[in-house]
Amino acid sequence: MTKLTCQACADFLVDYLNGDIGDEVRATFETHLDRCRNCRAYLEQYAAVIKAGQHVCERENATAAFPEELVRAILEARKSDA
Amino acid sequence: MSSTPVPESDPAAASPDAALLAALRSGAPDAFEQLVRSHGGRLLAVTRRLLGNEEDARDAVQEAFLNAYRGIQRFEGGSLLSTWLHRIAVNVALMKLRTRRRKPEESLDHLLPAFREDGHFVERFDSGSEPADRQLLRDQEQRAVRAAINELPEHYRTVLLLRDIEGIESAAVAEQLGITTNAVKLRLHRARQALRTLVAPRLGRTAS
Repeated sequence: MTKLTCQACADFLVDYLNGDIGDEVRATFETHLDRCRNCRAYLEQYAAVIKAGQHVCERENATAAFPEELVRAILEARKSDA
Repeated sequence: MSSTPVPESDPAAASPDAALLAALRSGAPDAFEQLVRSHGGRLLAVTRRLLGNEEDARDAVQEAFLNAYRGIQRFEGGSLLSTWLHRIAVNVALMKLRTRRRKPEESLDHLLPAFREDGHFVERFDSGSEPADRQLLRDQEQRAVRAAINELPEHYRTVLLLRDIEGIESAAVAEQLGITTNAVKLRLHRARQALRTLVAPRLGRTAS
């Protein structure tokens, strides 16, 4: 494989970011990225939305309140389950 | 930076999980409540994301804690308690998703990039003067990303949440959803591409 189109490049994004492509394909992919500003910008945005999603959900996890009535309901359910 | 060494002979101090686990196994009266209070918020956030409905999310968390209580003697401590509870809550939420009336799979083709015949993108992409990841960490943009995740069709949103947010391996996601790992990869890629398209109007703006 010596040359990739932008479309083929886009198809490799999951494997590329996951580190799941072989050395030869990676080298071809990165050569394309070096030469194609549009693909670089696309990859940057693609990776950025993943990171942003993770960030916002981590914050959600850390700040989520747990309603007292739900605590009570769970404790009651456990008693009746026992 | 110095820290107080933890005495090796004090397992409770060395691992809060070990202490809570021991208390749960021995049936200590307050242990279950402690488990619920310390892990409930995070689990509720997880089930809310997957189920998108407050009542179902709360039911799922309740069921997850009851399953955990029933299974505590079988928990071998090979992972953190939080990881174990997370897995139980995700499984319960996915079970609830499966029992909901099946919706036809919605298309997100209109959110995927278009290509010319020669394989080049039709659209030109430009992240602007600031790196895209930095732009998306601002509060307003974070809210937009969160809203965009909710806009994804369920089949795609579920895979994106399980892989990118909950950090579950492709093979496990495939098994839980009853699809192949290739299908997981394809749905994940399409979901990420659609998410990028939905968030794109927020990119390329000058930092305020």
